[in-house]
Amino acid sequence: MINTDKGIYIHIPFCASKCAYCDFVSYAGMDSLVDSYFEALFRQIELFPYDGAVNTVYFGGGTPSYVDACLIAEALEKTAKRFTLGRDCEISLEANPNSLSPEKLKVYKAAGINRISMGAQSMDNDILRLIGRAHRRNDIIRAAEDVQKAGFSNFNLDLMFSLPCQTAEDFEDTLKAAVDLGAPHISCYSLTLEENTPIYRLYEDGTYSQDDEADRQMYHMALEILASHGLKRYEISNFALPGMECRHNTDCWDFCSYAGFGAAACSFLGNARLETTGDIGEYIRTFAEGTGEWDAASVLYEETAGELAEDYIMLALRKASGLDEADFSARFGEDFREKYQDIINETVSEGLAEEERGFYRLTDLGFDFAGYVTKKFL
Amino acid sequence: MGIKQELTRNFSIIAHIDHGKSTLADRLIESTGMLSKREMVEQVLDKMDIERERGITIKLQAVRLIYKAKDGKEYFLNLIDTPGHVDFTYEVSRSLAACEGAVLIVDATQGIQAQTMANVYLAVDNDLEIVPVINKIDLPSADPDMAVREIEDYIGLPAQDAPRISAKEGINIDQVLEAIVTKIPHPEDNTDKPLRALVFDSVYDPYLGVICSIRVRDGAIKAGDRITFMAGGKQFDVDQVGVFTDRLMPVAKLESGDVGYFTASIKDVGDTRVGDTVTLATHPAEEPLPGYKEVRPMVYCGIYPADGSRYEDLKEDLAKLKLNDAALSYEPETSAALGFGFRCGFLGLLHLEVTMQRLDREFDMDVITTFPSVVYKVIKTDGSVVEVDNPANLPGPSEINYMEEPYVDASIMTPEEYVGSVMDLCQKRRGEYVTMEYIENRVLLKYVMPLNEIIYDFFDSLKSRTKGYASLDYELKEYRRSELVKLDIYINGDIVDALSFIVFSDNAYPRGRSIAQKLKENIPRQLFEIPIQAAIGGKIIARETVKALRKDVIAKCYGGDVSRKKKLLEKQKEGKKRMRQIGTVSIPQEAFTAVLKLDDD
Repeated sequence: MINTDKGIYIHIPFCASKCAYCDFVSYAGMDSLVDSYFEALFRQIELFPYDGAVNTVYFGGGTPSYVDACLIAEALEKTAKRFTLGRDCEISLEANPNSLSPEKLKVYKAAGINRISMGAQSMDNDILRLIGRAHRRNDIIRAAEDVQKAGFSNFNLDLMFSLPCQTAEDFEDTLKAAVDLGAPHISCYSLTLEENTPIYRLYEDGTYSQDDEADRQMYHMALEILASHGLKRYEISNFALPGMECRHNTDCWDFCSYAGFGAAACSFLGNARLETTGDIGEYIRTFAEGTGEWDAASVLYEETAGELAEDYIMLALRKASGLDEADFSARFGEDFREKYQDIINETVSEGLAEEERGFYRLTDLGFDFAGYVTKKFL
Repeated sequence: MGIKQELTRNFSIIAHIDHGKSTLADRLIESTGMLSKREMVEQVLDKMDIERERGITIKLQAVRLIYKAKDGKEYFLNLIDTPGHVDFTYEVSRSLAACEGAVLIVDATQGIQAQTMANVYLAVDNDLEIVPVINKIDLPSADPDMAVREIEDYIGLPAQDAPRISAKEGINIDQVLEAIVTKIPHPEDNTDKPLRALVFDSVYDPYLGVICSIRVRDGAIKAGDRITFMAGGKQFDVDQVGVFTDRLMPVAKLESGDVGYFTASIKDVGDTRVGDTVTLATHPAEEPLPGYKEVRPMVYCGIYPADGSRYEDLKEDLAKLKLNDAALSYEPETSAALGFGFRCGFLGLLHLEVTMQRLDREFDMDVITTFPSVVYKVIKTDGSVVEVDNPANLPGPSEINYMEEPYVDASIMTPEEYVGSVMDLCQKRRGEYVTMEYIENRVLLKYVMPLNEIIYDFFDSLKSRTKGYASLDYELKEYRRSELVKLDIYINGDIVDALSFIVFSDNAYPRGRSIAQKLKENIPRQLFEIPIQAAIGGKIIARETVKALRKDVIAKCYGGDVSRKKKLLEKQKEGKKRMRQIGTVSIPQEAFTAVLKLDDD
């Protein structure tokens, strides 16, 4: 393993209801499986063959805040037993405004969770309804206040744009409301249409449409409003006050390794990626017996050096700091500048990228074309 | 009169597409017991996948059946299959010329169609005895009496006692066999005359060379004979003669009245043209059999490998197709936009389409085709005449006195309720109305039309205006003087030679606009704005703009989706590989295909 900064990801695939745009592995109406799922999860964590220092733990979903808070606390306890959580370990939990309560927050706090990431998405009730979110503007405001009252100064609000019927004014209102709530971190990204989601069909049949012009207008507006409140873009869709960046995700973009637990969780172990089955039933059955390996329900992809370098570039270009040429050379034994001279020159001349003191990074314009630039390297 | 001739019947089956020709052929083969049911593939006569899928027969073939009739005698029935489409009219006529009779299938649910009529006329031209058969009587919507009335009224054949059958269900197949024996005359016995055999098909086989399907009219042919193709002029030594059962079955000789094949180590199907007459080199006939015609391509287009590096593969594939398809012609051409490819000639649009499908299916060859073009005659100012099948070869305007384009006689059969719409379509496509004839609740429309308009998406428009019910048949009529212009397409200021085409001048504006629009829809946005222009001789007549790309970015990417997001990017990049570079603009393959499918109105 190249990197010792291990992160832990734990997937909680349960939700109160499925959002119209969601193609994640998450299930509504499967509450009866929650207890056995957590049993399997605990078992999988125990089976992990290495211990070691862990810098971050991240509960993602689904909706981790939807299940009994004690189960989360217990999962964290198992994690702490298996690994060594660093003294300033960042422990995040994804939450929905309407499943958070002061009681749950108290349990989280006591368990050691120190960062809440809340899926607000929009402050417009009509839009929230259109995208199938169960909460409303008031729920977000109340939940954000509860989070802060419970002592979580580090919290994130997820906001989406390019949503059905959303105008620039709607989004401006959402952004302003979010900063007014005092969020030190905001994730802000456009709606990605995934096949096999209800909303995808509404775009297919022409009920809604997405407009790139409007999309960029909203993105650039977000950049401006958030910057004026001190939240700086540190990754394409992540903005934070200095020092409040999400360390778990930053480590991932920095190519650090992480282990994922739970159905559909992914791991990156330096040179291989693992993906655990998204089938909850299969996941539970695999670990119910309690024997076997921690990755018994996972598929392993060993990546070649070339593939790893491509992953590295794709992730590094998402960061505002860009790609550290020295780090690239150290990892892959090849000189970045030498290897990619043509692409570097081309993208710099197109005004999409710049080179500065050993870093190759996207320009403001380049951030709108990160995919275009990345594809040149593949 | 030889006893053998008396016990032989040579016949074809004529029908409209989908009226059950192949199914009836199967039943006849089954009923005569020549093949066991186990050996029967679903459609014995249709050899190729495409034929089966499209429900038509492209390469013709014959089969010999042995039938014990009610009179107690055993008959040889030679069934000669005919191709089922308008592009192959000539081949059909040669197959019919090899017969004394034809079984005419009329669908009891649909009645007579344009193509049925066309084939009946061909059969009548060849003096064939026509045996009508009413098929699909098992269907709930069947109206056999209607079919009988139509045959009597519009073809003028008595059909009261026509067998009413269901080929699919195997009902009354024996009646068809009896009708063949009793109604179709036996071949004449001209064994004592010098050999004359009609070539009605030829197929290349890697072991035997070309297998020539023949009908012996006069004399006899056997292995060892030295023969001459009277039109083609080449001579060969016969290796083998035989008849068609479920395989090639060698026999000692074929004589007057027989249908069979011979092989003579012939390497090129081009030497064995359909319609040619085979005679003995040592003892030649004085006159060839009538009706030979050199088939010439009517439609041309450029064919380029989608992946430019596969040019050599494409060359080999075309050579292989050509082995079995004498009507296909091709020669190398280059395009600034598409690189190295071939200019290919076809009998018609279907022939073109079938060839594309064969390239795809048999050789896994993905190609880009350019606008199909007819053969124009350019009368130059110096009085010379050049034939132009490629817009790139059109002489400059100052060298052209005037131009001529081919016109066809088009017959369209349509249900009554669509007549207005069909006439409107024909009118829009510069059709000149000739006649209209009511057949029950259908109408047979005759127009004289420029072929140029027919190869331009006409068939699809016709089908869509008639919910698929109309049928079309056409035949080359003549060349007529016409006002034609060359339309060029510029993308980002660069002319794209592969998109140029010749068009009737009044249609240039709408076509130019429509193509510019189609290209706009199919060229993905790039970092800069891309103007698309249609021009006649440098004068811009239409313009569209592909707006600049505003973003190309994956909204979010976390630890769980690294692999997925990268795959997404790789897929997008893969799509990019299939693009053609015109200057600084990448044009996807689909853009070239999309402009070929223009909506008419």
